[in-house]
Parts: sequence; C-alpha cells; structure tokens
Amino acid sequence: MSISDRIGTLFEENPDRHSALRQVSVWLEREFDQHVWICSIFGKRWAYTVGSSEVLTGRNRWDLGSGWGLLADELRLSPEQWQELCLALAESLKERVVMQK
Amino acid sequence: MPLSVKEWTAQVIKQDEIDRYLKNGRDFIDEEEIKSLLQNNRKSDKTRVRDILAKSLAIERLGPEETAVLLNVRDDDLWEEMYETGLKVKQKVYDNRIVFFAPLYCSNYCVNSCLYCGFRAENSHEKRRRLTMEEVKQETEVMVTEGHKRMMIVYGEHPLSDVNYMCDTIRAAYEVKKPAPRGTGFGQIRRINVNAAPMSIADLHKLWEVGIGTYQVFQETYHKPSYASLHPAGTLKGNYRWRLYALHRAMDAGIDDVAMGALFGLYDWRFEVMGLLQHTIDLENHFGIGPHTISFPRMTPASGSDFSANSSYLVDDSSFKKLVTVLRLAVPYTGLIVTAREAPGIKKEVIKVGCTQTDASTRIGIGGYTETLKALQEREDYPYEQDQDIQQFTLGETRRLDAVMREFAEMGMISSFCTAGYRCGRTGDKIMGLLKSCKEGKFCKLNAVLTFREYLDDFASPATKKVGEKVIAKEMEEIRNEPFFKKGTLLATFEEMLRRTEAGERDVYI
Repeated sequence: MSISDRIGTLFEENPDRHSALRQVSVWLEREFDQHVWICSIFGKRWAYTVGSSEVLTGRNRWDLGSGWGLLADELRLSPEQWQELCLALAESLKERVVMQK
Repeated sequence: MPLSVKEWTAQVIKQDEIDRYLKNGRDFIDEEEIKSLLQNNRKSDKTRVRDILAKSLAIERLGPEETAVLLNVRDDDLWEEMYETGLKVKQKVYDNRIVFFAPLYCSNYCVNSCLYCGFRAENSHEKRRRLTMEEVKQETEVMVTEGHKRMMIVYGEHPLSDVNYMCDTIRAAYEVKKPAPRGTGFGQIRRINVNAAPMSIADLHKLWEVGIGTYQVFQETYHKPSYASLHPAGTLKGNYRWRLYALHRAMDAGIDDVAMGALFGLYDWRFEVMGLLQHTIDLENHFGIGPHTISFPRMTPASGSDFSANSSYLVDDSSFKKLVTVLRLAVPYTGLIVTAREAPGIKKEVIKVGCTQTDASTRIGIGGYTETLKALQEREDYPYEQDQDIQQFTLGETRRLDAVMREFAEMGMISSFCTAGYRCGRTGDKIMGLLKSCKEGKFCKLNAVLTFREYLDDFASPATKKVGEKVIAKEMEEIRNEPFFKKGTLLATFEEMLRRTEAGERDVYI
C-alpha cells in the first residue's frame, strides 16, 4: 500500500483527528523507523500535538497548511516519500477541517 | 455597546475557575506551615546543607523543608559554596548563555489600586496612554533595530487593554520586519511573551491562539495579610486566589509555558521564596510541569508611592543574591530572569549564581522606545533620563543592548536570542523533560551560536563584534568536541546552518 493510501485509510479508520495523527506517527515509526512530531501551529508557535516519544530538534520542518506542521530529525524516507507523505497529510487535514465545519 | 469600566470589572473573575483548583476549599499557600518550616530549620549542620546541594546538582527540585534549610544558612563560607553550586547547576542545565529580551509596555490604564505601583488608578501624576497599533509597530521597529528578537509585552488591567486589544497588539508586533543596520539581515520579533493580569480560560485561549510564548503573572506577595493590605478589597487585584491560580488557568487554556514571580520588598524575602516554591509544586502536581521561568523583581521607587521607597521589607543586595541562589538551587531546571530594575553591578553578581535571562535597552514608559532610543541611535551619548510619571517603577540598568552584550562576552558568556524551542514543539512537558535531563541546554547552545552570529553581523558595534568573535570561536570548539553533538547528523546539520547564517540567511534554527 502506498504512503498516501495508508494515510487515507488511517484517517478513515480514525474519525478523531488526533487519533488519526497518532496512528500516522505510530505507523511511520513501525514501518520506516521514522520519528516525527505533528504540531498545531498558532502564529509562530508550533505546539507538539502527537508523535514520537523521542526528543526531536525539529531541524526539518514542513508546514502542512490548515494550522498543522510536521517535524523530523534523521530522515529515513526518500525525498519522494516525504513529498507524498506531506501531500497526503495536508489533504487529509484539509478535508477533515472541511468535514468538521 | 462596550461595557463601562464598572461592568467590565464585574465580569472578569469566574469563581468556578478558582474553585476547581482548590483542595478541600483550601489553596496551596499555608502560611503557618511555611513559617514553621522556616522556624524549625534554623540549625542545620554543613553535612545536611551539602546533601541538599548535591540534590540540586543532580537537577532535582528541592522540597519545602530542604529549601527552608538553605534559606536559614548563616555561615558565610557555606553561602560561598551555595553560590558556586548555583553557577554549576546553571551551567549544567543552561550552559554559559544568557537570553536577552526587551519589554514593551502598551498601556498604563489600570483599574487596580496597588499601593506600590505607579499605574494605580488613583495616581493622578501618571500620564495615561494606550498605544495605537501604529505606535506598537513603531515601538517594535525601534526594538528590532537594536537587535531584539524576544519581546515581553506588558499591559495594565483595564477594559481599554482587554484580551482583544492584547491580541491586536501582539499581531501588530509580530508583523514588523525591518532591515538591520548592518549586514544583509532584518530585525523581527520571533517570540512574544505576555505579562498581563489574570484572566479567564476563554480569554487565555485567545492569547494561545495568537501564538504567544510564555504567559507571565507575578503573585507580588504570597503572604495573604500583606497582599490584602496592599491590594484593596473590591478591586480585581484584591482577589488573592484569582491571581494565585492564573497560571493554572493558562495551562488549562493550552499555554504550557508559564512564568511566575514575586515582587520582593512587599514581605519577608524568605517567605516569598517558599511561596514561589509552593506555587511550583502545585503546578507540578496539577499539570506535571512547573514554571518556565521565575522572576524576582525588587521593589524600586514608583511615581506617587511612598510605600515603594519606605517598605520595611526592602531587600538589600546581599539578601538579593541569596534569594536568587536559593531559587536556582530549589528549582534547578527553571529559567531565572533578572531584569533592568537591577543596576549593572548586582545584575552581574546574580547572573553568576544562576540567572538565565535578562533585558537591555529597556524602556518602560509608554512609547518610551520611540522617544528615547531613536535619539540614542542618532547620538550615542544621548542622556537618558527616566520619567517616573509614565513608568510603573524605576530602572537600575539603562545601557543599550550592545554594551550589555559586550560586557557579558568579556565575561566569556554567549548572548542568545534563541526562540527555537516554541517553534519546534519544545514547550511544556517536552522542554521540562529536556531541561531535567540537561539536553535542552545542548540545543540552546547551538541556537545561541546561530542567533549570536546574526547579531554580530547585523547589529553589533565593532568593539562588540571583536570580543564576540572570540566567544563564537570558543563555543565552536566546545561544540565540535562534545560527544552529544557527534551523534547522527546533528553536528553536520548545525555546521551547515552556521554556514548559511554566515552567508546571510536569517532565522535558521534547530
């Protein structure tokens, strides 16, 4: 299953956004040994919401839109996989925002 | 239709947002218990004191009894050991850096009547003013042209400076971006912390959403009879518990970096240190994390306030150094802020026993930066005179940022404008865990170098740049030899970030 399909499935299986994001983080760790933090963005503040229990410096950051951001340190995914992951997350979070309105 | 001052005041306090934190109807300040702890721990031998110091050095928070033991030390030699341990604790958790910020006072309208404060409602000498958004931007422009990146924004308690005004001013200050006087960089505020009166969870949530860093409320005094006599009943500030639980409400609103303080000089300093510790413990009990910073302003003369000059509890320099030391030892992982209320000499002394943050180029009059610092930028020897009638209190340190940074660089310290933590999710329990395990200091060291580099290239005078380069070289040598940084790609990533900064890229952080 591709990254985008998996993200789509996790969001379908977990109607609650936090649960879905938590599952995404768990899956990335299990599948790719990729530790991430998913943050809510308020102005300049990125507030940890879910993600790895490991300490991350946030040296790699992606603004996913809709007030969400993704942080990672050591990159285990290829650049193409990151792009796919970020696009899928951005899309799911956007859809979720729309759905919850 | 806007509320009148009276109507506004009547709707601020939400009793249920006090009661939910009480235990069997009681708050966490038990005066008799504090007094008996101070009384019963007057005679401790050196072994007991040294055991407590060992606990501080292991970066464990002290208990009330242990803190009372330290507060009662009378032996000068033992105090010397405590000062040395304070510095060691600071170096272990925060390394040799000092974080700079500058306050921005937006409004001095106030509904309260605190006997020691120039802002109090009855003070007819005070010239009242509230900054417009354009003025907030002008003030911010001057601050960022000095090189500041971190702002503490301050408001009196009044409907004219309610939470909506606060949010507007914070947005306005964050919007400012100005070319730096030298180099290719730009001046910009990257973190705004807020010092404002206690408010409801709903209002605090608005501050959270606008992207603030830390929310700061000082209890002033933890001693209830003194609090009651200094803050008249019937005023908002007269409600001790509404203030006591302001930070609890902030935590519940999502603001997980909170800052506490006491105004030293209102009551016995040893009691206030115990109060701050009890406050820390109660936050830890409720939320698992303590305060991000603790402040300990000393009362200085204020416009129209005899009390501020004549209190029988005014703290002398020797006692001040002691209280800062005990706070450093009692709460080893929390930042300590010494402000420009203090004169350069004593400020330097307390930085040596563990302070982590300070301000410089500070102006606390409403509109003070625009009026004074612009003149300073045109003429280096502009004679700055404080106008008590637009200030809340009097400053002891009026030097410019560049001069203060140069002095610290000559002491071997690195000045930092790091704001990375709250822009990378490292707040609340995340940063507390890192501080307790002495890891946050490592990240801060890297960000201190990056932001100091920016300052040297964009804002520093030739004299500061000269001494600053030596500090950077020393820091880089330490970083390259530290095993922590050699793990994974951290060192390589950092070196690349430094190269980008040297090449003119700005706001690079880790």
